[in-house]
Amino acid sequence: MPDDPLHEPNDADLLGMLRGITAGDRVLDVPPASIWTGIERAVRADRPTSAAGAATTPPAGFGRAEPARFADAARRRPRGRLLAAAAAVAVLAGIVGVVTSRTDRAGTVQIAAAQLSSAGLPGAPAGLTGDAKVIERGGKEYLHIDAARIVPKSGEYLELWLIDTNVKGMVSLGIVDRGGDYELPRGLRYTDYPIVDISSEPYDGQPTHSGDSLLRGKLV
Amino acid sequence: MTPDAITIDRSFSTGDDAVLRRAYDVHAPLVYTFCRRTVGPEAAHDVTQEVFLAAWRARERFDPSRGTLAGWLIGIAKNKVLDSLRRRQLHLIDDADQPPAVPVGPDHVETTANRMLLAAALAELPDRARHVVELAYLHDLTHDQIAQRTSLPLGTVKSDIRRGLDRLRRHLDHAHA
Repeated sequence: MPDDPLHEPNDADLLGMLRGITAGDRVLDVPPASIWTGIERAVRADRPTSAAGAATTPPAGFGRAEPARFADAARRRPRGRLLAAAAAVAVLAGIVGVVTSRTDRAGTVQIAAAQLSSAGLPGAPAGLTGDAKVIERGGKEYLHIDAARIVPKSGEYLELWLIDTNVKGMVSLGIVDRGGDYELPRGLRYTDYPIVDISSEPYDGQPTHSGDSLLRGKLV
Repeated sequence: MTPDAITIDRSFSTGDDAVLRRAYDVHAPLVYTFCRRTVGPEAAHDVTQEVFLAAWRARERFDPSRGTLAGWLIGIAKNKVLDSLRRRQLHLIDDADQPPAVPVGPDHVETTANRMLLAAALAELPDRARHVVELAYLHDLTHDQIAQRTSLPLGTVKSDIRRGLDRLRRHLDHAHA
């Protein structure tokens, strides 16, 4: 509004957003009842109350119990608390690994290991396998990779990643040529980034993961 | 905002389970629809649950003086949506029951969130304020032109637009408000 000196400069972005509104933006879908059921169960489970399995009166305001699709979904693919539980088990296994770790004659201690495979990875050749181990040697931690049969896509290179289970973060450990020892950055705990991933990367100057994973496994 | 929504906003951070239920009743359609239009109908179910659980577990951090609960929930939803899209791109989730979607990027997530929040906020403005704001952005009219078109005093038009835009901005997620 050019004739108005009171018009604030940052109204322009708001007006622009308003112009983008379509009729459909106001039409809302009805959430299936099973969404609420899953939330209610998770909130109850959060509370440190009576022993699991004891019949408790639902708190006032919560709806009646209904068939929970949330539980079914959790069985099909680990999410939420199930994922956290799996991660907790993996951490425990990792700790046990340290306590009963194997020390070879060269003074290398194995802390954790992962079987790598291409199963479930679209675009990856079937039947690829590899090994990953977190080892400690001379006061430093390394990720030891054995992946002799792996080759990148034509014209690309292989890159090694550690990914956290929430996919909030991933760390690149560098370029891979079939295997080797990759020093883990000080302060990086493999328990925070337990998913080992080897991808085929194009030479496009982009540091982000291409999405073309060839091998993957979880350190335990 | 309706009186009920205002009460829910004020009591959410310190409330009991009953407040969560009411907040869900009021805001789940917006969150669920936003998820459907970004991660798709199948993933929207689980992502919506994650949003409300994350919001409830972090409810002490919600400050109603900084914006609305709807905006805060959509802010959380944007992050969950982006996580889900990232996991899908890395094939870290089983896509067998989700039809391949049109590639959805962060820009689409951002603009969808803004449009849906603003559309809801517009509908809650008083009629006169909404009419005046629409004349301003839809038809690009000046204050004078709006005053003539509506037969309202120029001062009323200016303050309606100012207050209307301020209220709309409050409804965007906390990053914008």
